[in-house]
Amino acid sequence: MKKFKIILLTFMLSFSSVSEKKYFSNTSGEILDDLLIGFNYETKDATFERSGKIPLETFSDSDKEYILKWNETKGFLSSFRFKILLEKKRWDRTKSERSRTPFYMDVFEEPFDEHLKHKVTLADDYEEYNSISLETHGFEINLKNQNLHKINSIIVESKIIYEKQRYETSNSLFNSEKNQFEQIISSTISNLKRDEIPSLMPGEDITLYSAAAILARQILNRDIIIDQNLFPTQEGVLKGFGNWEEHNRERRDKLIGVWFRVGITNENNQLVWRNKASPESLMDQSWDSY
Amino acid sequence: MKKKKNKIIGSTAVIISLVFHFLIISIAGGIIALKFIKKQPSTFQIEEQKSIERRKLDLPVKTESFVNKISKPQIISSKNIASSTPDLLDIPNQGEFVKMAPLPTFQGSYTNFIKKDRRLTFNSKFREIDFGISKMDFFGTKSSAEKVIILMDVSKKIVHDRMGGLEVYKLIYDDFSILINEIRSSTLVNLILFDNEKIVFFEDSFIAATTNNKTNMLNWVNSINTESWNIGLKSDYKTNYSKNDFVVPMKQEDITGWIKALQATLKFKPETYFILTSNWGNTTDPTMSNVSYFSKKSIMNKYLKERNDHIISKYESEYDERKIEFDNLKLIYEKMLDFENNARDLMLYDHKISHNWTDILSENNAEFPYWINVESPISIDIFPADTRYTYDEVLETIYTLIMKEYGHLGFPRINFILAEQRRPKFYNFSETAPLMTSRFKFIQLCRMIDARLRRINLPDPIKNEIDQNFNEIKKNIVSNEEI
Repeated sequence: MKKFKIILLTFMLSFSSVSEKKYFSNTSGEILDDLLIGFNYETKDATFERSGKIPLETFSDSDKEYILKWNETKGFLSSFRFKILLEKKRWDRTKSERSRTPFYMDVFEEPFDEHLKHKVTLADDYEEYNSISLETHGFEINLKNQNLHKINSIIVESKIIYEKQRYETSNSLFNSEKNQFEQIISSTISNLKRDEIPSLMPGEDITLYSAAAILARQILNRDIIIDQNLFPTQEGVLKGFGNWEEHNRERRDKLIGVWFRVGITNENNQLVWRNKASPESLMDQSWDSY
Repeated sequence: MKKKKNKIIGSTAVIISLVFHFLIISIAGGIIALKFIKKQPSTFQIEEQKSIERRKLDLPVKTESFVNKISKPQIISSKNIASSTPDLLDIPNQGEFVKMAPLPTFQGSYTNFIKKDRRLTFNSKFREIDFGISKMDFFGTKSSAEKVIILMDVSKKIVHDRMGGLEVYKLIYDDFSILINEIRSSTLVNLILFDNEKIVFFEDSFIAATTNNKTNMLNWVNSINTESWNIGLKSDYKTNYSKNDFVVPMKQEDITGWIKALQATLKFKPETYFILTSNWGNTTDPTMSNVSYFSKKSIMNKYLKERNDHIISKYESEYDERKIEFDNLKLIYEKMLDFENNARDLMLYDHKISHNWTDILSENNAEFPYWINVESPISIDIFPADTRYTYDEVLETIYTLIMKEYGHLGFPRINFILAEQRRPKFYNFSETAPLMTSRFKFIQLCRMIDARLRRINLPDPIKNEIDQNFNEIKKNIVSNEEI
C-alpha cells in the first residue's frame, strides 16, 4: 500500500512538472506542437519533450511570460528550492488566583436612584479558591526561496484551531448544588489569518505568524471550613442554601493545531497551494471544514 | 719611450682635440651666460577678443516672471478646534524634539554577523527605529514609547462634588498637558475620551505629536467638562466590532467604559497605553466600598423587573407606602438642590454635581426610608450572580481582546490611573476582598499583566454652601401644598 502511494505520488509529481500547454508560437508566428518539460534559468533555455532545448528569446512575448511563470510555479512547488518550516510558539502566559470568602450579593434598585444598590451576605463557613491561567499560542512559518529566480505574489493563509470551553451555569452559590454546576459546553474555534507577500527574492526568507489561540484554564473550588457536626452551617443565614462538602469545577481550553497554506498563481492563472499542518492529520478534512 | 711621447705632443690630433674642447667650453659658457642675463620680456600681439553674442531662447510659449507665478497666500480652514488661548500653553521649542536615530545592532555577535547571519535588528519588538521614542509621565506612571494611546474617562463619575468637582478635571488637564508637552514631535499619539458607553476619538488614526496637533489636543480636552450642567460626552464614535460572543466571555453590548475604549484602539497596536478611569465596571455602588463590576445588561434588566414585580405582588401595601415616602423625599431633594445652587450662584461657584440624587439629602442628615427587603434568593428563575460577569470572565475578555491583536508581539505596557472617590476604609479584609472593589480589581489585573497602577490624590470633597434642615424644608413643602 505504501509502495503504491509512493508510486502514485511520483507519478503525480512527474505529471505536475509537465506543462499543460501544447502549442507555442515564436516571434514569426510559427507554431510549435510540443510539451514543455524544463527551463534553465541561467542559460534561458526551455526544454521540450521532442524538440529539446530552445532559447527563450525565440518565443513570442506571451509564451515567454508563460514559460517563466511555469518555471516560477515549478520552483515554488519544489520542497528543496522553496522551503517551508513550521514552528509552534507560546507567545504569552499569565495567571491570576485568589482565595476568599464566598458571598451572596443581591442587587436591587430604589426609586429615582441612578445606581443599583447591593446587599451582601458572606458565607463565612466556606472558602473559595479561584484561578485563571491564560496562554497565547501561535505558530511561525518560515518561507525561504532557494530558487535562482524570485517568487511573486505569494499568499499565506493560516487557520489556528482550538477548543473553547465554558460553564453551563453561573458561579452562584445556589448553583453549586445543581448537577449542571460542573457541566461545560465545548466549541471549536478557527481563527483565520491572511498575508500577502509581493515578492521573495532568491536567497531571501520571511517569517510569518498565524493568528493567536487564547487558551484559558479556570478552576473554582468551594470547601466548607467548619465541622458541620459541631457548628450549624450557612443554611439559616442564606435561605435555600443547602449543605455541601465541596464543590469544584474546572474548564480547560485545548489547542487542536494549525493549518498553513501557501499559494501563488500559476501559468494558467490558477492558485496552487502548498500545505503545511501541525498535526498533519488536520489535512484529512477539507480546508473549508474548519 | 721618450721619443714616442714627443711624437704625441707634436701631432695635429692634439691640436684638433684642444680646439674641439675650447669650442665645447665656449658653447657651455655661452648657454650659462644666457640663462643669467635678464631677458627683455617678449612681446605678444594681443588680438581683440570677440564677445559671444547672447542668443535668445526661442520658446514656443509665452513666459512669465517666476515671482508673478507664486500664488498668493490663501486662508486654509482647519477642522480642528481653534485655539482660544494658545499663548498660555507651555510648548517646548522645536529643537528639543530632534534626536539622532540610533544605529541598528547585529543579530547575535559581530562574528555571527560576518559568517552566518547578516540580519540587523533594532531594540524594540514593536518598532523599526526608535527615532520617535518619548519619555512620558502621567500621574507618576512612566513609560517610553514611540506609539502611545491615552484613554481618559470624562464622565460625571470623575467630577462630581464628592470627588472634588470640576477642580479634579483641571487637575487631570494640568497633568495631561505636562504629559503631552513631554512627547516629541516624532512620537505617534492618539487620545480617546470615554463616558460609560460613549467613546470619542481625537483622530481616526495615530497623529504625530507636532506642536499644532498638541495644541489642538489640549484645547479639545479643555473644551469638555467646562460647566457643571454640561458634563461628559454628548456624541459617540461608531465602531464596528466582530460579533462573536463565544470567543470572549463578555457580550459586546456589555463591554463599556475603559474596556470599550481599549477595544476600539487595539487595532493601532500602540506600545503604551495610559488609561485614566474612575471605576472598574459599568455598575458601581457608591454606598458600598466601591463595589464595581460589569453587569449582563439584558439579564440584569430582566432580573430587576421580575424582582420588582415580585415585591409588588407580595408586599403591595408596603410598596405603595414606601413609594409615597420616596416621592416626598424627591421633592425635598429638589428644594434642597435649588437652595444650594442659589447660594453657590451668589458666591459665583459652580453648581452642585451630584453622583446620586441622595447625596445632598444624606449631607443634610435626611432620614431615609428603608426599601423593601426580599428574602434571598427570591422565587424568580434568575440568580443575582447570573446578572454579572465574574472577575475571571472580565480578565479573560481583556486578555483575549488584547492578545488577539498583538499575538507574537506580546502584551503592551498598560498604565492605569485610578481616580477613585474617597471613602471610609473597611478594615475587615473578608468584607472588602469578596466585594471586589475597583481598586482591588485593578491591583489584581496589574499583577497579572505586569501593568502599573497609580491613584490620583483627589482634592477634598466640595462642601455645601448652606446647611439645610430636612424637617424645615419638609414643613415648608407641606405648608405650600396646603395653601
